[in-house]
Amino acid sequence: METNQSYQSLGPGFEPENQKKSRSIPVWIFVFLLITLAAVVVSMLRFPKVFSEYKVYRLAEERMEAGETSAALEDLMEVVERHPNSVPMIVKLIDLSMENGYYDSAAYIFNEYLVGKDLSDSQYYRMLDYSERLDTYYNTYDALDSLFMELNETLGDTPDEEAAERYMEELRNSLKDLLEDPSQDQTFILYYLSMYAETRKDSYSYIKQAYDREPEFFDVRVQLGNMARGLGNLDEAEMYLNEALAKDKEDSGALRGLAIVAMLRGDLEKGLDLAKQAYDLYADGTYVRDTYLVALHVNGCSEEEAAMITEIEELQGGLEDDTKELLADACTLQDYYMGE
Amino acid sequence: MIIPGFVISIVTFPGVIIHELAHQIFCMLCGMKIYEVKYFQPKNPCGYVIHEPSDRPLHVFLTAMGPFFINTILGMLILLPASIEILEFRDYTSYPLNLVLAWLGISILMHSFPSTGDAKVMVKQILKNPDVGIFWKVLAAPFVGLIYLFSIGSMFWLDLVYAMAVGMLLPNLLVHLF
Repeated sequence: METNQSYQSLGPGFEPENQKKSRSIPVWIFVFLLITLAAVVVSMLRFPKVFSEYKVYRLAEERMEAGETSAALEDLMEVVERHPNSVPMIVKLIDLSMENGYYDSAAYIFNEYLVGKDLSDSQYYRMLDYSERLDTYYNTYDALDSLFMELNETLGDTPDEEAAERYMEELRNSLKDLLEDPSQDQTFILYYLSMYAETRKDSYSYIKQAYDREPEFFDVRVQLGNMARGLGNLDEAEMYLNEALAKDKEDSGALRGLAIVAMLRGDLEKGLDLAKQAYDLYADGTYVRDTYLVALHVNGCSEEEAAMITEIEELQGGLEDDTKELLADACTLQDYYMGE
Repeated sequence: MIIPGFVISIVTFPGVIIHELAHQIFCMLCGMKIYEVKYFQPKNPCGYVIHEPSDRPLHVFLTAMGPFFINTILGMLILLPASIEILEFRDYTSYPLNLVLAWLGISILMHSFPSTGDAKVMVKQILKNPDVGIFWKVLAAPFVGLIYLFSIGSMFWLDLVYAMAVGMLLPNLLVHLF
């Protein structure tokens, strides 16, 4: 090839100095290339971890829509702990926690990670709204705390039945008084009123009001489902419990509630399966062990039943009286789960 | 904001070096003689490779487009984790080396696109060459168009936009793929 026919990467105007030999790569370029390749290695070694964190951050909403609310929030919290200066991640975690009623988590992230960070205007005003909501929530939390302490002091250490009844009556009245105070968190008070209501019907009514006000509050769907079941409305119970499960498919309370509904409908096998799922996910959940025990009993799994009784006795101090009655076949499942 | 090209090249000099090295490596792979290489100089043009011509369209295409592939791949690999932490997490402190990696990755990506000189070679040796088949013309045409587009666009920071787009869009794409 003639010299004057050779071409260059930059077009005409650059004459080659020496066209006889081919230029090799100089040592300093090799060194430069090695440094660049070292940067590639460093980046690629870090990439899997950073990418998995990014997936947690990016896919949190999608996972929540797919019913992985608690797992998505837990994973996001872990990533925030590793990136305490990441404002978008902190803000996202607070957003999702607030939207899904995880107020304690939101407050923790607020205090631990958000304070002192620079926010955009829109983030700032949103956080201000959350802060007001959390203030109301914790005001009520404190009010309830002092209420219980006050009543416990009044009741003393060895309450008789009459004193206990008086305590409950006072508690209900105090909660109703608090409900009249607009500065208090109404949903929170309704939730507590439902727990201490005199009748199942009242409990249902209070928790339904709480649900109507704020369906994401605590485990209000599970409580509503359980109270509907207590009143014998199995379809309604199933609806709310499935709604809770759609929000979080690892909700042991919802699985336990559905196990009871299944057993009441006569599908004992399904009841056992659901009760076991609840037990495997969170054995320490409210009445999760008891429900699993009942499911084992009605399915005739005597060995596992005996083992579960031992476990409950060791961990919870013993079985409740009505559970003992059920295991002794002195009452039916309907009486146990739906009777007054 | 108008900043002279050579100033940008000085700031992003690793990209210029990799760009010229990519030209050189592809010349070597295609068995073409290299007469002169300037990896970097603080003036316009900030680097160049002068090599013998080839009448094989594959060789012409590879030597011209080499930097696009090499710079894009290297820049992407270096920038990915840093771009996630800096651009998405806005976390500048967890890993101090990130800023260096981001600078290196962006510098390399910004110099991915071959010069208009390379485009002219492809036009002459491939697009206007009656001996070259339609396959090579169809393959080369969009790349020639892109080179000219980026050459004009670099006045409006399109080279930086390309680097940032790789840094921001790729992680999003990967998240949905894996």
